[in-house]
Amino acid sequence: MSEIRAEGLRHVYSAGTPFEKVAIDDINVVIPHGQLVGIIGHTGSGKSTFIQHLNGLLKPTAGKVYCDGQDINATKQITHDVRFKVGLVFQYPEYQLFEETVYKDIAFGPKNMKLSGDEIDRHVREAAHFVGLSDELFERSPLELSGGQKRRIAIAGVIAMRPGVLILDEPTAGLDPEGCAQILQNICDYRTETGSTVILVSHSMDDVARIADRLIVFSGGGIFMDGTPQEVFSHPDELTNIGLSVPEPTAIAMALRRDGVDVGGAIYTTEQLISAVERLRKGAGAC
Amino acid sequence: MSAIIKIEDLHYTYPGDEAETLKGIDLEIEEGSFVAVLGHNGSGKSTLAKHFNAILTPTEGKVLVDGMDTADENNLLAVRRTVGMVFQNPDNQIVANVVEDDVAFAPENLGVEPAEIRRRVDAALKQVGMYEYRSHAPHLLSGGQKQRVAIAGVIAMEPRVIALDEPTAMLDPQGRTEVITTVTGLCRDKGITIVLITHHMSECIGADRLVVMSNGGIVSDGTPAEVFANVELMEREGLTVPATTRLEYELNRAGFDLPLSALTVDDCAAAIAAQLGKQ
Repeated sequence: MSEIRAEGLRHVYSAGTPFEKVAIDDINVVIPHGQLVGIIGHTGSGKSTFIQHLNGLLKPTAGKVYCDGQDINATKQITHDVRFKVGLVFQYPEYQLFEETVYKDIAFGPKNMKLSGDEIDRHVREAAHFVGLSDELFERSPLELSGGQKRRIAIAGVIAMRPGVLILDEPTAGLDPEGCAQILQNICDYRTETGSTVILVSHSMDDVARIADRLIVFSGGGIFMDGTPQEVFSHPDELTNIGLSVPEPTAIAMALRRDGVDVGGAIYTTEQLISAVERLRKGAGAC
Repeated sequence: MSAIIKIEDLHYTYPGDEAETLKGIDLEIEEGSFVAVLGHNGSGKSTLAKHFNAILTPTEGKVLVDGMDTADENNLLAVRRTVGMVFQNPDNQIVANVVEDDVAFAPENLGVEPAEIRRRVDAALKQVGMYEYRSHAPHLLSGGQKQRVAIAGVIAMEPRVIALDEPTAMLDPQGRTEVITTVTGLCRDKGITIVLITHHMSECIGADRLVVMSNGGIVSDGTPAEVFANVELMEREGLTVPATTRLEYELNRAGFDLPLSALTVDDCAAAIAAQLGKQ
């Protein structure tokens, strides 16, 4: 069980200085156990500030964050423990690899959890398996591996703590299409096999459209929209207004509608669009 | 038009490596053109980019920038004045505490007159749409804004070529659009040659030419429409094609007859609408 709840969450950076900035304000949201949530929003919309509250890295200026019903900032001990329950993978996490070997890097988190050697070993192997890293890489230096491999090692380092909530900030940024597809698949597998909650911050509308159950859209420090990809992407104009885009298939579907081709309801993957167009052709052929 | 960058049989091996990263590249880039370079991670495209302004010099073969051999150290300064580079992470490229100081950094180092520096900095910031932010602190800007400041810093050197290595990888959709619109404008309005290295298929659509790299070599080279039309090759190289091409390709397999060259969303929709209308 790992449910996340934010109530009246507000965060002000550099309070009391000329650079004072309200990053998020009055955020109320419940993320139930096992959900795969995509968080989208333009730079500066507050999404990174929000996720850093979920494992106690940032303290709310006002409001509360609960993990499984417990206020995560209630005591120092609780804040400490929540770091293992809610795993956060930062942007470009490969820059944070520092150990001599891949194995040691992945083992860093479990070691800090004060697990026994056997347990650490089990956690490391399991995490490596989730991200598709083979055992042969364990004794290599992480610094001599490719960008995609480094990214997977960094993600494994967080997964190795077996967090009930896995949060990833732009896990596919800078990777080629194949690397992106692999990481997204790893994330889906982790969710399916462990039943963990996954929160994915992404700039790629196509990625979140494909894998998320639910999308939370941030704008101007607040939640602008919250719903299934189908619901959210059926508001393309509102999304464009706040500096976001729609997945490319959605854009093509919109252009088709404008050209008088009624492809039907919300479309956000190429597969949906292909079947919608094929259906139309068959319909036309039957007439 | 003449080639501003001319690459002849370029081979490169990183020190300590056994395998070659670049395995014989021949490429000519026309002055004033907009060239996009695609390739999977590790295909050698960043290594190639670093040869454009002599960050790296060939292990074998030649790179000529405006006729100057980049391997000749006497040409180094002139080569770097001709080709400016913009990298992926804007935070690593900003050196000053104030936007306009940052943009002035390169011309100051080139020994440009103060009055001329002022003129260049203002002009560069206006070109990237960041003039109102000239007295702001760069670290408080958004990623797209920082990247535009980095581009302004390069423009202020008045290079003839700007090579950008995945300049949008860390940006949101709006930031991406800002950067691509900016560089496209520099090419179309100012005649600056643009070499854009990217993973985003959609950013290549507006280029004059698209070069695809794989495994240290060039595997495809042509207009974006020509290159993307070869869907099988792109997939074999671990790349995707734009959603428009993918849709046309899949529909053609299902019996449609769509041109794979309809790359923009509007052209693609118009082609599909026309076919459905005919039936």
